[in-house]
Amino acid sequence: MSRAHSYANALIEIGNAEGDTSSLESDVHAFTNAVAGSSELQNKLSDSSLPAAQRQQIVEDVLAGKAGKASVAAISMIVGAGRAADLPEIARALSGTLAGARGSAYAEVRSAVPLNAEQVTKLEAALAKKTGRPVTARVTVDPSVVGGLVTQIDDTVIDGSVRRRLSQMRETLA
Amino acid sequence: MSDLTINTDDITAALKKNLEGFSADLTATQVGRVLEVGDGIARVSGLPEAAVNEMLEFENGAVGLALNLDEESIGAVLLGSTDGIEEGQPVRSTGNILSVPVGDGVLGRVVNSLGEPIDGKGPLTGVQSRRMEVQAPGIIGRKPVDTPMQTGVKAIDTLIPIGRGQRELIIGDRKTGKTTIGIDTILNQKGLGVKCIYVAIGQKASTVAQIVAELEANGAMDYTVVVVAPASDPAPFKYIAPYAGSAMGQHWMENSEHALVVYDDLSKQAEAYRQMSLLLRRPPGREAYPGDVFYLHSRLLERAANLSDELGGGSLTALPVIETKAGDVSAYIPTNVISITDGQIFLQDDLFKSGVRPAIDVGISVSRVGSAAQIKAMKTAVGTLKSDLQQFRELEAFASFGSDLDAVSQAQLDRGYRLTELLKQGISTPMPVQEQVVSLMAGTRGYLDKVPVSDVQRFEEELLQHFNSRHSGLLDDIVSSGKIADEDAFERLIGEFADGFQVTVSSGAAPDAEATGEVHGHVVDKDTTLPEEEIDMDDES
Repeated sequence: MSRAHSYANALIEIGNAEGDTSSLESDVHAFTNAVAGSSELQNKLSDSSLPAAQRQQIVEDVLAGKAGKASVAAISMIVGAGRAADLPEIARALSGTLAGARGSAYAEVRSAVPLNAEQVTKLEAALAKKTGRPVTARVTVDPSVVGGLVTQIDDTVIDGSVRRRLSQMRETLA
Repeated sequence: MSDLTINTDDITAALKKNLEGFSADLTATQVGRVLEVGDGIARVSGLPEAAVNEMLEFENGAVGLALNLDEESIGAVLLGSTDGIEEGQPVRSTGNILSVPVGDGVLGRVVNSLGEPIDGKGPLTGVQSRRMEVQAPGIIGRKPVDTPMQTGVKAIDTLIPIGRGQRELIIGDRKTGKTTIGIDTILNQKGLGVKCIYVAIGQKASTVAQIVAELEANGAMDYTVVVVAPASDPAPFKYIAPYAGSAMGQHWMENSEHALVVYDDLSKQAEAYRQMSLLLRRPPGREAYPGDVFYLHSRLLERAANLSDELGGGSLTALPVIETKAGDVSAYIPTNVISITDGQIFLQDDLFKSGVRPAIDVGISVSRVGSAAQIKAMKTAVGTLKSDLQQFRELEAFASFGSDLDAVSQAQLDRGYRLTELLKQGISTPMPVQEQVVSLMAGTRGYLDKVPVSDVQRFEEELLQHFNSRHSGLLDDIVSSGKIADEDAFERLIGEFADGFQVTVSSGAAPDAEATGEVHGHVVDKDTTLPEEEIDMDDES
């Protein structure tokens, strides 16, 4: 079992004990997105020369009042253990495992522009048809995709991005 | 500014033409993550559908070979640089199993273990792709060895004959002429329709360059491909090089052609595999080699075969080379490979140093299947050569104590010295089979007995000249029919030449029998042997 999965399982245990895994899940994702959006926060949290307590304080300050107590404690534990860089992986594993427990699949979608609710529903339906399971999609905005969508379900990546098509074209012309 | 104007329509047209048939496909690919990387090994999580020997693509463009498929991770060896590979980077599975380009397009080229040309002559043309690891032909697909593989080395073709489709091990210490035998065999295939593959594993790049130059100088590159994994290459390249060479040979074999592959040498490949296995944390066994080191060589050498007529009747002959340390053939790798092959050619250091070159120990060298393929003329000429030489060896040891010998023993001893002298041969001078027959016949039928040992090589030279100029019809007859039409007449011709041979008049008295015993000392100084720098070159095996 990979490290991310171990952390994800630990988070689920915490969520189960608190009786609310879904808010924990969304809190972890929200924090992961916040970290991805701010390089300064990213650097500080993965800076092992900062004392663990100080890094954890940053987490608590960022999340103060916005997330549940259990979420703050869990994320603070991960950052304190020096695993801030693994957060995206842990968030993915967490959602994947939770979705698996519900008998559905978790899709991480990267798009250059934000998708509206209707588009997400259509995407989920299309993916459900392909995987044969209900799919929960979580969309993140990533300008490097240029256009189109990159979808990852477990280890499978469906890359329909303009970036990939450009690189394929470059290879053909080379 | 010039008048040259290019409008956008032209550009669009040019791009469109080049992109014809291009369609952006939407396929699902498997992605794993690098867990750890180091020592040329990467551990990758995910990729549940990766197969053994599948190529994995890393973020920095390096290719990895999936070798260990564990429950939670994959152990992959990196073919290329580990620079820029970091923990957490995505790894893509390509679905391609390791393969190499094969076909006549590789002839004359020098390629690396992946079949990429490294001779600066541009990309390969007229090639197709073939998997490196293929199962060897089964029992039904094979037929017994029936055609000789002429090495052009007198001592081998006469006493340890090799047949097409055979696996004959060349084994000996460092600097005993192992590579020379392989190269001479390749040189001798000129005009015989055998395509050759020389696989250099773990050798110095300078040595390989010399070998390629040697092949080129003798016009042998026209039908030869050189696969190189020099000492500076990472271990995985040295590990796969022989399989690449074998795949190229198998392609020809399956197309009803004949191929010869020289693996020089498999000890280095075993060492590279040991390094990889230890780094992949496979348990070490004897001499720290992994448990499947026997299979490493057996599956490679089993791919040499003489295919049945139903499968086209092609063949792949393998000459693996193994280096021993201080003549120790009971080490792990030598014993393994000896047991897999159909015989072995032993090269002895002390023979080499005493001037017997090629330094083949005919006493302990054997060929288990090749005698079936030897042509009849050669069998006639060879006669009892092997047992004569063995008796001579025993007598020689005995005579060195200085005891008096009876006339019969003395005669045996004299014959032995001359036969040993006759079997000596320079490098890069393979001798065609018909000449070998003439030369050997002179020796085994006693026409050399009156010739002083120091004159034997001149006698042979002049005898062959005589036959080539006066009786070339007889030689051609041997080539076409494989036998001597009229043995007595043939022998009489040799006898006539021997009677007319002018012995070199030495300044002192004619050497007596005992003096001839020291003849090895003279021969080293004779111009027929090699200058020192050539000796250095030829035996870098």
